[in-house]
Amino acid sequence: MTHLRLDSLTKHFGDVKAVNGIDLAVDDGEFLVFVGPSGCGKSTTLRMLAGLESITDGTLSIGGTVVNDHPPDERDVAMVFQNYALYPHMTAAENMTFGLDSGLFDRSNHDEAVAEVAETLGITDLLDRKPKELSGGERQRVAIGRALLREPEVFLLDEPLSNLDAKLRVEMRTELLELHRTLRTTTVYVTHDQTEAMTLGDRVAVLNDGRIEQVDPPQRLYDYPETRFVAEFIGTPAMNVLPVEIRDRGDALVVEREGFELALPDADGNDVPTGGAVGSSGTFGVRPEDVSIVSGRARDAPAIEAEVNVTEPLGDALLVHCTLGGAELKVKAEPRSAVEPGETVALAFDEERLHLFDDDGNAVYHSSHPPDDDRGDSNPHEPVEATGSQ
Amino acid sequence: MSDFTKPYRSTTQAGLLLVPTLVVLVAFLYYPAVETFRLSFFQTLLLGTGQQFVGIDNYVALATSAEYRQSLFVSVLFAAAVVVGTLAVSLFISYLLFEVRAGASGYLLAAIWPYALPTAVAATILLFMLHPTLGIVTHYLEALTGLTLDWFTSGPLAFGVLVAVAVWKQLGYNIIFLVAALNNVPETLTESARLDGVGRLRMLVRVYLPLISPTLTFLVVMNTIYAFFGAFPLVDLMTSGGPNNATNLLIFKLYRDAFSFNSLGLASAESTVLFGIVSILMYVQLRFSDRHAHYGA
Repeated sequence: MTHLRLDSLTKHFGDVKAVNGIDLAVDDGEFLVFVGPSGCGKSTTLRMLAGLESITDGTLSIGGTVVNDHPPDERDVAMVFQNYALYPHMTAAENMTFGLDSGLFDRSNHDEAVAEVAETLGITDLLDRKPKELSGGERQRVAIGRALLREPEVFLLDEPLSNLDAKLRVEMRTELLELHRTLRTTTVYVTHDQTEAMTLGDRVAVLNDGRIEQVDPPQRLYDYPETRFVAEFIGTPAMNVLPVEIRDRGDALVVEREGFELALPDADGNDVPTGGAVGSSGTFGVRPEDVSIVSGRARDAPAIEAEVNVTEPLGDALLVHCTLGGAELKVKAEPRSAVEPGETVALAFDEERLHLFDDDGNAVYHSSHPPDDDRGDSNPHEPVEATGSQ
Repeated sequence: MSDFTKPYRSTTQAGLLLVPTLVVLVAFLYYPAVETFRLSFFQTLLLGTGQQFVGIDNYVALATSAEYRQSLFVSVLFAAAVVVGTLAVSLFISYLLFEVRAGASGYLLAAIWPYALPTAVAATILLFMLHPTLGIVTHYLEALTGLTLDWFTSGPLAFGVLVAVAVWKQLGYNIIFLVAALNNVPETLTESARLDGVGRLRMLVRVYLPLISPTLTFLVVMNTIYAFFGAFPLVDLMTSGGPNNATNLLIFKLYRDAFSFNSLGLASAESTVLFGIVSILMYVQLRFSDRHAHYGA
């Protein structure tokens, strides 16, 4: 059941279009993550959901009610801020209950509810402390506790883990997941960290320039990026993208650039623009882990030669920076590979994991198709349409 | 400390740089203060000539003078009214300025300009506007209320007018600090409260006031000093201490004792006592705020 619906949601700040027509439906109980670079409009979108930012155009509905003009407190949403937004002169418990009371000095009894939430978050011993006596992680727990206590329809989280150190961030990530699994409250989460997005989201919406590039479950986003932006934004190290010429060789479609030619497997029947005899230009994409270094003796298949510039040991892998036809290509090789800078190596691509983008940055080809692709059974390699929204 | 963080080359150079400030402080502050304290033990003739040591006679004279006690009472009442009035009104205006979205800088400018007006100029203009027979404000107030507002002859009325003018004059100074302090409260606190639907008055009392309490303390201290020392031009130009000593503040009384009645010794003793009173008040206010004001997160 759709819980949150955004129709052509738009926000302008003067001449600046911060959010440029977002269409999105979030299901009841779903954990949706907005991810994108700074200034992509993800926080602005969240703030429009909260009612902290007015909506320039489009409609926003929560639970079937259009709430464009509803003030924040009539939307039944709770928000967790990056800087926690705790009242510094109140104890943790007072911080959690302050918003629940309405009169000037009202103090209804919320002890039981507070104790329960504190128990869930493991902050029972901290309830009488003020924010400055709490660590960053503890403060964020209190802020989350405050949101939980409201029992809202929708949780909005604006980069809640950004101020925490790396180790704590990973811990809190797991806790948030567990919390969501227990509560099943619809959650919209904003982050610039793609790892956080991938690990937390039921679905991830990648934003760029005020538009949604793609909304999909994390693995699908990773395996079948609809645009070049998504391809490069999701995954570390980022996907290799090489400008190529696309040509129809008769028996197969090939992409080529200086020192490298590759026939695209199973490329029939899709609409890769070949540009006829002269060929057309595009961008070829392959992830570093989908490229392998072929050892000297096993070179039976025609391999691609590249020169090694730098090697970076990552521990679980060796990241090899090579030059291929004037462009840089990163390869995630076996961790203890004996590869030295200056050496020429033979590379092989995983034929299941090749991508091609047209000059507008839209995906026109993936060498395999999504397992649950309901659109592509008759035509397995029909490019996923890059409409920018779902 | 490494050498290149020092802004001077030698101790001598540092000393030389301090000399102008020290000269001004010594010549116009410390020396007159010491001299005033010394004079308070003397009886003087014309402008300090013919000094005669009288011990604590001047202080005894003050302690036993009904007129002085009246002046002390009026001054303390005036200070209390000005401090409370200024803070209350400027807090109200500042909160409105803090919340207004359109034209905020225009309102701010309008709110603080009285502070830019020299006190003597303000006093003269207001004297005309509030004049019991000529004043436009008085005219309409009398027309609206049907009362006779002759504050030239009524002590309580004159006191009220003086308080109102002193508060008005000090609003700008307070508003600048309060608006700045309110704007320093993290915006997410306001937003978080908006999501919870916290009312504006509750937000002001329960969140903003505690968070800007260091600024409030500072303003209480500054307004106290202003009320005891800064209202002199207002009294001098508008009421001359009258009617019937109802506005004869300590600062005005000691000026008159010194320069109209030529009792420099007595005036010096009054100065010393006033200094003592204000010092004790400062100390109490700061001690109180140390315990209650909230500094930082």
